[in-house]
Amino acid sequence: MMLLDPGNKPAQQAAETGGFALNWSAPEHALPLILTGVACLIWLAAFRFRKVWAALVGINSAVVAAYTVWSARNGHWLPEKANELANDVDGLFNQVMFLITVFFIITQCVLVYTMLQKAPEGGRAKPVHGNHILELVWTLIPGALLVYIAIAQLPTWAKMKGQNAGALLPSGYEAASDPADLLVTVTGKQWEWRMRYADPTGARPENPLQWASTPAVDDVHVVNQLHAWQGAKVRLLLRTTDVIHSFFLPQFRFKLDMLPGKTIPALLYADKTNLNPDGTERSWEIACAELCGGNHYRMRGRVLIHPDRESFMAWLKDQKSGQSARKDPLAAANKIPATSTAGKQE
Amino acid sequence: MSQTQQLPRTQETQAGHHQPGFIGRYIFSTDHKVIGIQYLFSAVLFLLVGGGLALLVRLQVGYPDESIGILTRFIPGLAKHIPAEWGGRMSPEFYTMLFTMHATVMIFLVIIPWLTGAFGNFLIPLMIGAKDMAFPILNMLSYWFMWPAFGLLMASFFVDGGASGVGWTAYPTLSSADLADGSFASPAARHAGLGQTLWLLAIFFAGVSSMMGSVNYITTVLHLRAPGMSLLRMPLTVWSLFITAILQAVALPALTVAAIMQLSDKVFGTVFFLPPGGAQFGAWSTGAGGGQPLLWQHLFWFYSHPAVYIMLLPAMGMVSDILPVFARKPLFGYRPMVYSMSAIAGLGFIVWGHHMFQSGMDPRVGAAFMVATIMIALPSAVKTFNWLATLWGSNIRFTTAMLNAMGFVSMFVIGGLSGIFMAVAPVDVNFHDTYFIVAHIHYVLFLSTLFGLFAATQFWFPKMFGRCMSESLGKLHFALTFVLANCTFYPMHILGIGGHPRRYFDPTLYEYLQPFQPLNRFMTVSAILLGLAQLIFLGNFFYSLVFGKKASANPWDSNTLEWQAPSPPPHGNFETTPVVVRGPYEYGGDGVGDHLPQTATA
Repeated sequence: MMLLDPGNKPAQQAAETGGFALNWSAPEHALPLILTGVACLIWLAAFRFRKVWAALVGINSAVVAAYTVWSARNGHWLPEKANELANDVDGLFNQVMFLITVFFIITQCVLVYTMLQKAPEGGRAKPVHGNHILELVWTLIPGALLVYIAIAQLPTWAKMKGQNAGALLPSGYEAASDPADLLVTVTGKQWEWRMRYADPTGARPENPLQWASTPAVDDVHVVNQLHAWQGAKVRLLLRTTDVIHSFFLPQFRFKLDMLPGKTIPALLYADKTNLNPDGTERSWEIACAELCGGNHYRMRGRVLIHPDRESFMAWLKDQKSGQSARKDPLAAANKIPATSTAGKQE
Repeated sequence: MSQTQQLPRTQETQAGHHQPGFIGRYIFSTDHKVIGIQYLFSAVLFLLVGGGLALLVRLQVGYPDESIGILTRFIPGLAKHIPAEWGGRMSPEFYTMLFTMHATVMIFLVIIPWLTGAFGNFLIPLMIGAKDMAFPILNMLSYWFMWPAFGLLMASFFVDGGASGVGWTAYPTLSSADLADGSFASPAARHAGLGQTLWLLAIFFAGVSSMMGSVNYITTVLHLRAPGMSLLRMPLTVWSLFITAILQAVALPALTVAAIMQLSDKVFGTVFFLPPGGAQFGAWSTGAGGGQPLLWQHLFWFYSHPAVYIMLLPAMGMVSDILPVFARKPLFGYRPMVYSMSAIAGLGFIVWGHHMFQSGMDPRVGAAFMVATIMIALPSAVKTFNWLATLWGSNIRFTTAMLNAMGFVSMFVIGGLSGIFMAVAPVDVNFHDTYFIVAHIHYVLFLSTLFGLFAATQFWFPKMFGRCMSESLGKLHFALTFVLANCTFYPMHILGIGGHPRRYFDPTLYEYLQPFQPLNRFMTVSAILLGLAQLIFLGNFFYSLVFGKKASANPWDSNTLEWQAPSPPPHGNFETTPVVVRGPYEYGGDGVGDHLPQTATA
């Protein structure tokens, strides 16, 4: 398995390209110019036909809708789903998407219609100041739909926060005592993720929260790589040594901040492997989602969900033996890499 | 310098002001109209600054590998931010400064001053039939307190380490950490030292400025209304500015206090936002703390979520006034409009937690915030339906102001609907800090509020300056802005759905983001064209100031009180205090003429 380097693009690469050399025949460059031309044409046409403005608004909304559908069908959409939770979250997304599409179409059609409508008789509109029944209708119907959205999402929210299936409301963080299959402490620091696994041969730590803040000598340390196995329920204990980071795993629909001074427990469901049968790896990446300094964009990591527990354990033991071979594992793990020197030293 | 132009005697005695000189009249003026116009000019100037910063951000995201060294030929000051080791690219630190300052300038120096500063000042006394604000000197101070904020922000680019680069949300400990050796340097980031300290001071000044304005607006609306101008006869513009002022007066102290606390952390070494265990930056360790980084998020969003409504409600109010004028039809559902604005303001106070679903806050608290957040969609929906009903069966006059107002309605629907995802906690967690949020806020603040502002500027320009803005240029600007703003911001939704994090210097490092790069380039090219299109607006604005068609007192056949005063209104506004006999939206139908001004007794 290749190890992805989260590293840096060489600066020379940019220097070699010299200045801007835009390829204007590329669609992404030509299209804005074409659309600018279209807008100018509509403006010109409106001198003669004032209702052309309806076309501007109408076409814009239609293109927005069509482009959204095109994106969904061409892979520019939600990331791959790594677990069941992703199904639930995406299901909610799709329900809301459906509802707002209906409202979008209704409102845009009405708006465009009003721009096209004939002038009222005698040129004067009826002086209608309102309608009580209508107000009730368009308050109560969206209201009911919103209440539905509020209730429909609760079980997924509870599941996302590590509650048992069927729980309607999440409880607090006491759920950290839930016996998950694997304990991993993830510590963010400028600008990398430090993963710490309990010794695979030793006993499981009795109090995960306490273990998260007090490393044991035979813990296994890994940087920027999160491993688990298919079917594992992983207890993540999120920590940071310096600033707020946010641990973002797009395929798992997982995002949680790391707060200085706190250990935040979370459950990660690893329901699928990203190892293809032919041994190649589908890239699942870790990203930081909270601005954490100049190199925020470089906090890239990699997730590997092994097909079974055995291959995971083999990997972990491998890491462990490699680590024991070094002189002082803890000191090695805590060594400060050159990239994270603070402002004062620079 | 001193210039004497005699005011008509009646007005002078009526307004009860002594004769001011040039400085007193145009610079340190206490006249609400001059202050409003000062705000307008400042906001337009800052719009250029904020827009320029945004284009640099887009340039980097769209073309992370291209050299932008050529820019240093035009702006030599950029040279230190395009260092040799980055081979013609800007440094990642500079990139963070750009988006931080873009947000700060746009929010605190463009949108809020343009809405509440320019139009709030200019319109409130005129629309309620008052001679001036309740506290004219406070009003003047409120304007001049904005300049230290601007000066500090711009100066911060040139201090050691550069401007603040910790995001406009300024989350500790990235923002608050301090070396505590008196050097102002930050151990967390090179660009979070003196620059961030100046940023905090700027926020403090901007906050004081807004607070003085708010107190003034509330008092003016409550005490200086003309006879007959009951609360429920006020135009929605005044209602929206009144509600906004209350919102601001209640929410702003939280931000001001938080800014002072963070300032104290940085300057005096207090530990309001440093956790008990301290923090470790590389080899350097802070001492023990005793505070909480999460505290900042609560205080910050307690203000900054209502701030979104502060930046939206006045635009809603002004659009609600412009639509009936050019539809020649009464506003549909005046009372529901007032109630829904009040509901937005009220609920706006208890939804801040939806910015923090992923923050490590207790999930039960998250569920409570979710319910409040989802309910705030309701008044927004009611407003949209009432706007559409206003247009239904009307006789539309396609003026530039009307087109921009209709653009507002069309785009607010997108911004509002995409906001519903923010109220679905499990979905929001995934969209948080991705481009989906960037898309959403720009649909609300650019494609809604800014269209509202373009409409309002075009609409009230004749009253402010006695001349009309060009309709042809205005419509060209509308057509281009409408199309290009959608090109610039709509694809951000798609990026966000795909999980593209915001504030990334170089997204191409990530395999899952590489397919989106053509889209990023498309948005960048669109953004540059969009920026150029704004020059049409600026050209139109300044050209019309001098050469625009002379405007009559009531060029749009409108009913509200400001159109009963001359264009531009003299010192003291009205020759005799107007007496209001009806609501502001009597258009069309069987009345005498097609509209009935609020003062008309017929």
